[in-house]
Parts: sequence; C-alpha cells; structure tokens
Amino acid sequence: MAEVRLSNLSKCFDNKPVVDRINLTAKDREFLVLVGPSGCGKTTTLRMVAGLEDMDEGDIYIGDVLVNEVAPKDRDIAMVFQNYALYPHMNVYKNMAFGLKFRNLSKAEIDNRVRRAGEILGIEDLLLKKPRQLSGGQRQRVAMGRAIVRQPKVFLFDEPLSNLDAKLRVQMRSELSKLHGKLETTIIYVTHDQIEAMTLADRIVVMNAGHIMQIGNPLEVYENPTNIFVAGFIGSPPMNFIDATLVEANGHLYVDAGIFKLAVPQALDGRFKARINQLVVFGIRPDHINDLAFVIPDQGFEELDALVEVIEPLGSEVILIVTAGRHQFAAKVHPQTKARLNQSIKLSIDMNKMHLFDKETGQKIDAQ
Amino acid sequence: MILRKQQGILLILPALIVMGVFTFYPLLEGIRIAFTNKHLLKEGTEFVGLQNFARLASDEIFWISLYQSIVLTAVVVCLQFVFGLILAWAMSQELPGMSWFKSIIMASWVIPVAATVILFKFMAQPDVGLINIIIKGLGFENLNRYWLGDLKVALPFIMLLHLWRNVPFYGIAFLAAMQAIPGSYYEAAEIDGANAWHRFWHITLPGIRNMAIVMVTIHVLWTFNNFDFVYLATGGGPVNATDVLPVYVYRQCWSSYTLGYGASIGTIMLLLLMVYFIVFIKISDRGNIS
Repeated sequence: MAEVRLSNLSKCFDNKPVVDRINLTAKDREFLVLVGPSGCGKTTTLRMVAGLEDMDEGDIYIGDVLVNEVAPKDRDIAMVFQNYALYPHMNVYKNMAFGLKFRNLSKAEIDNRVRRAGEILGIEDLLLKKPRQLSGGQRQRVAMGRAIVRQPKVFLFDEPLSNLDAKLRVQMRSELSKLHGKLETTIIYVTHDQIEAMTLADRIVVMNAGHIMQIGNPLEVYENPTNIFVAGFIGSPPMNFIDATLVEANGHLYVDAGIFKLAVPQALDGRFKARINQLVVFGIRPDHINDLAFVIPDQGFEELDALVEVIEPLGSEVILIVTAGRHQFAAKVHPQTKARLNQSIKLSIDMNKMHLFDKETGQKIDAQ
Repeated sequence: MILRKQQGILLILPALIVMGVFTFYPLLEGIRIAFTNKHLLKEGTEFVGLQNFARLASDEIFWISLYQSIVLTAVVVCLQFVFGLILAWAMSQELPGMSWFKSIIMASWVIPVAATVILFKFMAQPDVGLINIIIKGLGFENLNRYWLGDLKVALPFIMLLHLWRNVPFYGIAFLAAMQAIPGSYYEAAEIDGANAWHRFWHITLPGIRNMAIVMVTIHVLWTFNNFDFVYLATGGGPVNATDVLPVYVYRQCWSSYTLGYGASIGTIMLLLLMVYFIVFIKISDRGNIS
C-alpha cells in the first residue's frame, strides 16, 4: 500500500503561513497533481512529504507509517527535481546507481536495475555520457531513471518539465503518462502549468496561498469549479468574469451586466433563485462563446453584440478579445470567422455552461 | 581605416610592452646570465657553459635549500587545503556572527608580510613571547625557547606563518565555490541515502574541484617562490635550517655577488616549476575529461 496522507499540515516562513492546515490523501497508485500559482505552497508541501522541510504542525503518513521524524532516505520515496540535480562529475550510469550504493545491493542487482530503467526510458545508449553532454529532455529522463531504480513506494516530481521547451514538454508529458501506467506507483506531481495538471492527473489539487481550493478529477475541476479562483486558474484562456446583478423579469432570471442582459436557462433557475437582485460574478468560459455565424442556436443560447479588440489566430480556432460596454472578455470562435478588428461581431453564448459566484466570498453559487 | 584586428593589437600593445620589459626580458636575461660568470664586483663577464650548473650539483647548501623548498611547499599547500576546506565548511554554517567573522578573517591576508613576521617573531621570543608565556603557564618550562632559533622547529614555524596568512584566503575561495553548488544536489543525495561524509566526498569536493586546482596551482608557485617570510624571519638560519631556494639565490647575488651562479639556481627553480605546472595541468585535464 502506498497511500500518502497529509493531516492538518502547516508550515510558516518568517511567521507567515505558506501551508495552512492541508488535509489531503494521495491514493495508492494515483497520479495526484498539486497545481497553483507561484507561492501557493505546493512545492513546500511536496518537500515536507519528502522530508526536506520540517512541518510546524500536522502529520504525514506514507503507507500507514507516520513519517514526521523519519529521514528522507528512509521514507521510501524518490524525487525528481526541477533542475534535474544530476551530479555533474558522474556519468549517467553512476548518477542512476548512486542511491543504490547505500542500500546494500549487490553490484549485479545495481547493474540490472540501472539497465532496466535505461531501457524503460530509452537512455540505454547514454549510460557513459556525462550530464553536460545531454539535452534537456535526456537529462530529465536520467533524473527519472535515478528515481525509478530506487523502486520507491512514492514518486515526487517538483515541476520536472518547467525547464524544457514547449514541444519537448508535450512529448515528455505523454511519456510521463505512459511511465505511470508501467510503474503503477503513487505519484505526487507539482506544477504551475494547469495544462500539465489537466493532462496528467487522476486528481488535481488546486492550491492558493497555502490552502487547498478544490480537489477533483480534471473534468470535475474544469466543469464545476467550486470557487472563482479555481474557475479562473483552470482553463486556457481563463474563464471570463463579469460583474452583474441577478434580476427577475416576466418569470425568468437574467444576468444583468448593464450594457447587456442574458437570460438564465430555466433548468438552472432553481440554483440561483435565492440570489435575485444581488450582485454576483457571472462566469463563462471562452470555449462557450462562439461566432453566431457558426452556431446552430439551441435552448439556453443567448446572442450578444461586441466590438473586436484583438484577434489571435491559433490555427484550429481563433481567440477574440471583445468588449461590450465596459466589459472585456475572450471568446474562442471558429477558425473561419469573419471577425475584423474594431468591428462589431455577433456572438453566441451557451448559457447552459454559465457559472455564478458570490461577489464577496468568491464561492460558487449553487442550489441551497 | 584601421582594421578591427589591428585595433585589437594596438589596444593590447601597452600591456605587451609592460610584460615584455618586466617579465620576458628579465626571464630571458636571467637564463642568459646563468651561463656566464657574471660578478657584481668584478669586471668582464664570460660565457662559461654549464659550469654554474656543475657547481650546483656539488653544492650541499643548494640541495638542502631545494629539499626544504619542496618540503615547505608540499606541507604548506596540503595543510592550507585541508584547513581552508574546514574553514569554508565552518563559514557555510548559518551561525550568529558569521558574516562579521567572514569580514575580519581576511585581516591576515591584508596585514603586510613584514608586520606579520614581526608579530610572530615577537610571539616566538623566549620568556616574553606569547607562545612561551602560554607554555610556561601550562607548566612546560623546559620548552621555553626562541622558536625561530631552534633547528628542529624553525621550519615548521615558518610553515605556521604561511598557514596563518593563507588559510583564510583558501577558506573564502572554497566557500565561494561551495556556495555555487546547487542545494538540490545535496537534497537529491540526502534522499538517495548519502550521509554527511558521502555528500561531502561525492558532491562538495567535486564541486570545488576547479577552484581547488586554481588555488593549489597558484599557491605552489607562490610558496615555492616565497622569499619574504624566510628572509625576514630567519634569513635562512639557524645554520641553513630554514634555507629555501629564493633566499639562497638572494644570498648568492647580493651577499656573495655571484650573479651568474645565483641566476643558475633561479633557472633550476624555473625548470622545476615548469615541469610541475605541465604535469599538474595534464593530470587536471585528464580528471576533467574522465
């Protein structure tokens, strides 16, 4: 069993809490991703699991063993660092074998493990090379190899792809996914990149300012963010937020943003009725706003005129930055849109995908 | 229009001229004089071939000076390396007052050599010197002596002067090299199971390798060529007990006035250091490549 459980984990630096009463369980063989902006406490949390930082409060269990006072080398974990941390004076073979030397393994067993890891990662031809002779992707594989040979209960990854270029990152992401499938071990992975989180994770833990904002599988976190922070952090481009008032007219609910009013689908009425005439934050993803010319209107779709300010063609789609009155938002439209700069465009908004958040607390407004 | 290449040469020309006048010319002239019987008080200088070098071979003081130069250099550089490492490790700890300590520790390097020698000579005085006061206080009256006048202790005392002056320099240099080693290497090693000694041996030492090569190279050259400590402290005595080649050269040239013979000793020193330098660089390069 390689479950990792964090119970009321807290850590302060200079009397400021950087991790504040975290409660979290990484299930056995789960790929758990901690994601959040810089300074949110995700790396500090990972380092406490590794034993590289002391906690101020709380407990950490690996398997069923309380490891608060256990040295890093005895926690049966392996870690892959952002800058790889490969020993520059040792070749790849020695880098991978280094940790095994201290564990009373025979030379034959060490050799066997190193070569097997080399094959899994496709670096068997690089064993005699030094780190400075390797590319970034190769170094990252060696760093993973050094972790794999240890056959630990838990792998810890600290932003391992941050130093790679965009194309290599995409390639390494899929390799990491395949590796997880092969190794069937618990992985706790830290990243600030929400695309990495969405593509790799079995479950995502979104963190901010030392707190957990939401835990869930990628689809849950994307489709049902429980607060404005998660809604704005997950998704690219980020969700649009518009200050509005929830009003009722002729028995229907409307999101009134001043310059425009959008009808709330009747199916969602029950969720929001309690907030009529209150200030709210209306959230809608750019993915759910399209050029009207390419949409077959359906129930719950609303039309809106907006002025095009920026056009970002991405090939498979076009991102438009548009304004309606004082409100600016993004729309992901069909690549063949006829949108022109500084000209008006008719947009279609899928209100079935709308979100409302409390203006004070940022929490999602849902059925009471 | 002056080409860029010519501009470059013009810009380095002053430095080349200075090097030529103050380094290359004296070097080549010194080697030339080594093959003559030049004497400061006698007229007429003749080419004598290898006569001076033949005289070296049977000069007992030359061999004593050579031996003591090598011993002094080897012991001092090794001890400076070890103590410098220990000092650097100590300074890398986050202890109260450490930044203040790092500032004042270089005082020994800053104090002029002459002042350092006077300090230590006074400390070595019988009865009134600090060393003997402490020794007498501990009850070892029989050890009270003038330490620089003792045949067996004078050379080790000179070594102490070198250590006192240069260990802080080693410490600061190694500290800078240690601080350039990424902390993640140590963390990775800690997770791998390496204890403090293993981390020192496998990460710190290789990490400071380049700095260590530079420090050892320059200090072998400096120590082997060092004149002022020995000349000011003992003049090479008592009874040649602290004689080293630079002091012996000086004595041959300015006490015996035999410039030709003195230059031949200097030429031998040059050859020895060149051999050392070539061998050392080859070994270092092999270490880099492997």
